[in-house]
Amino acid sequence: MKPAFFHRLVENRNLSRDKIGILLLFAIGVTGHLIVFMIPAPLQILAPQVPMLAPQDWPGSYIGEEKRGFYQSLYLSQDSVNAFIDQTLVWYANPDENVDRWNQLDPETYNGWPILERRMDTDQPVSYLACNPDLSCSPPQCWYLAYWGHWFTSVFFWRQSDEDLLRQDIHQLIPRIDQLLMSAPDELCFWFLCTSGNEVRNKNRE
Amino acid sequence: MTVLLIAVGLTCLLPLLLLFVMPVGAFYTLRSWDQTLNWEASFILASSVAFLGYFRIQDILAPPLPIPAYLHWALTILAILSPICIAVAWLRWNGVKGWLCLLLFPLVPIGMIAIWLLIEFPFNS
Repeated sequence: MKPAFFHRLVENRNLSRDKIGILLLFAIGVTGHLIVFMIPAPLQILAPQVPMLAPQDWPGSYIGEEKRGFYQSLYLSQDSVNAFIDQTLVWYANPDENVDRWNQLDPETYNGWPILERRMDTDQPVSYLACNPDLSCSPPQCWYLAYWGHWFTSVFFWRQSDEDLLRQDIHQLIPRIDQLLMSAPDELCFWFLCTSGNEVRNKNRE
Repeated sequence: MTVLLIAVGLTCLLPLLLLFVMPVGAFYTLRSWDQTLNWEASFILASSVAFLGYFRIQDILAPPLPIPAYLHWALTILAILSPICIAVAWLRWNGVKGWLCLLLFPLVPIGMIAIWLLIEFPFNS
């Protein structure tokens, strides 16, 4: 009697151990699935903190291409008039690096175009405006570069024709760009994860 | 050219291996069509879900987002392991031999590569 009882006991114990294992694996699997497929895309949460222009800043425009490297194009199509803005945004963990990179820029020209306006105020972003030498030629185009704290931005303005409209775009959007830069947070945070991690800093330096 | 030949070779061989050779081997061990079919279906489903999870994680956590590397790796591993865990639990519940269930752990990542190769090479050109 005894060996049969022990045999059954061991069998039962193995069976319950097997069931516990199955339950544990199932729990890990379901939890993993919930995390992997339910975790929200951090960019959507971070996006309001990123000081980029949005279609509402340039009425009638729409987002053409959105990239992860904080690069965005806004397009404007009204009948035959076509225009676009390409904005690149860089976040530096160390704002001194931002200043260093800025100081490496040629103070007279940008991409071979003369710098028409420059601002060196301390209470506003430091900026350059460089345009192609003959704006009356088609297509008129300009670069606006600015930095403030951790943030650097370069904005490329392009119009198929009409220099005046390009100037209008520039004068309409530059204050908004400056405002966005100045109101941007020093570091991006997603839940408890902030950009101050050393690994991220090294990545940004690369 | 050599890389392309290897890729095309793998694209042909891996699905053949996973869809035909492995089930035959499993059938020889299990001696049951039900369990073999169960194993193969679990394997294909786990590989597909792991593939989707892996690319979802790569997609939403791509640099330069402020995600520490350890978290990125943990989520990537979780994306691959969680469907395997469910598949193993399901197979074990249905009485498939333990070692054959655990074989999914090394085989599902290979299945993911096979799915990726199938999507990348024959259909992408």
